[in-house]
Amino acid sequence: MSLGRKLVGPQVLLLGLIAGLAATQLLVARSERRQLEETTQRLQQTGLRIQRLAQLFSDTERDLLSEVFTREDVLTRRINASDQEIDRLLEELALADWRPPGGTLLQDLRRLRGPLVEAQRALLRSRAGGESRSAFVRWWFLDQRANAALADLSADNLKGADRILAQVGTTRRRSDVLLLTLTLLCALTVLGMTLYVFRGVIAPLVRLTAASQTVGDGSTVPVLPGRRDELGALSRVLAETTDRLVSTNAELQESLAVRERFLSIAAHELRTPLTSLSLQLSLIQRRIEQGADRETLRANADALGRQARRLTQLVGELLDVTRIQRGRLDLHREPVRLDALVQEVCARCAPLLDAGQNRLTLALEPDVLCEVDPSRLDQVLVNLLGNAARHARGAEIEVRLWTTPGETCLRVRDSGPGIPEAMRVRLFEPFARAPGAAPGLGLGLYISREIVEAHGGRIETTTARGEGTAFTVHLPRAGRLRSARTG
Amino acid sequence: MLRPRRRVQIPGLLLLVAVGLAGCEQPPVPELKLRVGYPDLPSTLLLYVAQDARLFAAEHLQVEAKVFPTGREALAAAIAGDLDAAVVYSTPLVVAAMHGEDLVVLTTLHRSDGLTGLAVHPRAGIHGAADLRGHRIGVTPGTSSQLALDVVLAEGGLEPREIEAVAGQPKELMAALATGELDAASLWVPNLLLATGTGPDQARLLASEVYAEMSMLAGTRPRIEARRIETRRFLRALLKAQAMIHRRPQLVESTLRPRFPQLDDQQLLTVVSHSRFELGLSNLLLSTLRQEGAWLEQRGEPRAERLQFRDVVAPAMLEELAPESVTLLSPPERPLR
Repeated sequence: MSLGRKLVGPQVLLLGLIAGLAATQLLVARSERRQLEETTQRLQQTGLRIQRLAQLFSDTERDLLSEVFTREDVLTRRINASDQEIDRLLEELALADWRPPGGTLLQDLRRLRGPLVEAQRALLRSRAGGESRSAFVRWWFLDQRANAALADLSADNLKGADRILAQVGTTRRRSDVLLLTLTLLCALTVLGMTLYVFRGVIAPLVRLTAASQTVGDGSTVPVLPGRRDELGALSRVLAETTDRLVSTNAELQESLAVRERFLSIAAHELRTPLTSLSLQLSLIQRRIEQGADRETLRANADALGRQARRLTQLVGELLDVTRIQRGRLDLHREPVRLDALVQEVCARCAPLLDAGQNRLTLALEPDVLCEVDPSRLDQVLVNLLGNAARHARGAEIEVRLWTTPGETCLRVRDSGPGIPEAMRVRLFEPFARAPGAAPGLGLGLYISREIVEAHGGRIETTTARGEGTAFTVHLPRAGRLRSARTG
Repeated sequence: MLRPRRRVQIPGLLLLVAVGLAGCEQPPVPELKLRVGYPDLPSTLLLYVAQDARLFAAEHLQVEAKVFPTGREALAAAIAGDLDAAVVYSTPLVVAAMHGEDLVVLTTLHRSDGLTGLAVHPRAGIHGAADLRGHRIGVTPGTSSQLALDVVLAEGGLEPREIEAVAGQPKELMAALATGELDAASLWVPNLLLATGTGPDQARLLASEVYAEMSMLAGTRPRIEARRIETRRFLRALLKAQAMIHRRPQLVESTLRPRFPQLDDQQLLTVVSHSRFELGLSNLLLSTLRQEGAWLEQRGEPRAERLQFRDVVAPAMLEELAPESVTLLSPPERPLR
């Protein structure tokens, strides 16, 4: 679920609850008002009718008791009129919604009506006869009961107001409970939403912020687990970015370290021939002043030349390293007869091998044609032979050239002491030098490997303690050159 | 989502609360006792319903019920201190009050009309109230029987002295009527209905529709005040009985039928249709008490000084339990303490 939906959902719920609260309050208030209005109206109407009934009862009683001075026809007419109105009012009252005991009281009153009217008529009739006492007794009993029932009905009607107030009170209490519940729900929703936002949004943001602040120390920003929303996406992007940053930073640090080492070694290696060159020049200068002979000066000039070539070689190697590291090692490939090239290099290196008292044997397949940069392959072979001469003095060195259906292979093997185990893993690293090794930058094998790989080939090493070392260069015979590094 | 540890804690807490609540039992309600006397009449229906439905027991009230031949005797036992309350009709109560007894009415139990009147011997030659002059008429003095007779006599334009009144208990009067010793007898249900009929040898009914009967629960003021809690529980049980018969009207007949097997279906229907089984304290009750007081006073009964019938009615307890049942317009000057 998206973060937006997560945040909007609770808001909608909260809004719904608040709307529910308002609607409930409105409905309850409206219901109470309507209930009160209706009941008040009903009670008022009933009360007025009962009052009118009481008045009519009272009128009738007065009329009956005023028989002494009222004409019979007038009296009868008035009583009949009252009776009609009483009956009509009782009918109207009967239509109201009565609850016990009002209903039974009204029934009693209506049941009394017949006997009461009859008793009234009997009383009127008895004026002429001599039975007025018994008629009066009968009427008196019934009238008393009717009046009492009317009073009870009136009291019951008044209590109706109490009942409706109690009902309103009950409704109010229920609505209060409902409102309280809804308010509690709102509060819980707000609380839940706050916790949810804190746990779901703020806490992860705080975590991401804290993790981002440690990126400088090499740490990475972790991916928020189980998050498929915007924060999850952000954390993934941050994690990937910081991973790349950390990795790049490590590479930069490594590069800086390599450069520092490179500068240190280069300065050291360059100073030696430069010092020697300076001394030789001072010596030549002094000897010229002393009038030294030609042979002496030539010998000094030869020494000067060696130091200059040494310097040239060192500078060349440094340039090669720079080119390799910048990916700009240019190759000028051409079809070359490798057997001839190997023979030429071996011949050129003969003084070096002689100085190391090495015996060189060649096993070259004839007419091996290969498309390579001859000067670079020359450089590789010189490096391999130079290494063999330096590290396997007095040992036999064999140079072998052969082809397979896919490759051209060139191996330089010596029968020297082999490469120390600690050195084997760093053999092709730049500036890798064996302890106690002859002066040099330690770049020969590194450059050789880069040249061979630039040709699309590879160098394999076989070495064993006391059993010598063999470097085998495998070159593709055709179409397998690394195009990116070709010139 | 809850952590597993909390999921274990919450049901545990709930269990503890439940166990705690179960342990907190309500203090036991003390069982109380109330002695009530009543005449065995259909008007006592609400008490029967409450007994049958064990509503008194539900109120933690042990009702010691004692049956009397008439309400007058039940009231006399209450006045004598043998009972806490009695079911009585209006006449004995008014008579006792006029004699100075400090009585209070807690509620009416029923009201009816036409169920107290005269059973007239078929060969007595009495066809209307005016024919009663000079006849031997049985009556139970100090009961509604006496007042009902007086009302019939008044309707007939007669004075009580113009007949020969014979005093006796209802059963005695019925026997005398059957043998012709009496020309008429003033009775109430069920005896009135049992003594009368439409057969050639059966007594005829002569009742006044102006006379209304009301039975009520009454007692002496000091005893009721001393038994306030018991009386309130008693009233509450009766109110529940009333609610039961409102919900199930057929309960009236099913309760009365086994208690009054001597009444046939028609007679039972007459009783039920002429009766209202409702608790209440009304102006009608007060009016009835006043009317009867005035009537008895006119007949020469003594009247206690400062007797106010509105003080005989004690509405506070019923009003507290069922406010709608009290429709009195004038409150008593001496409410219950």
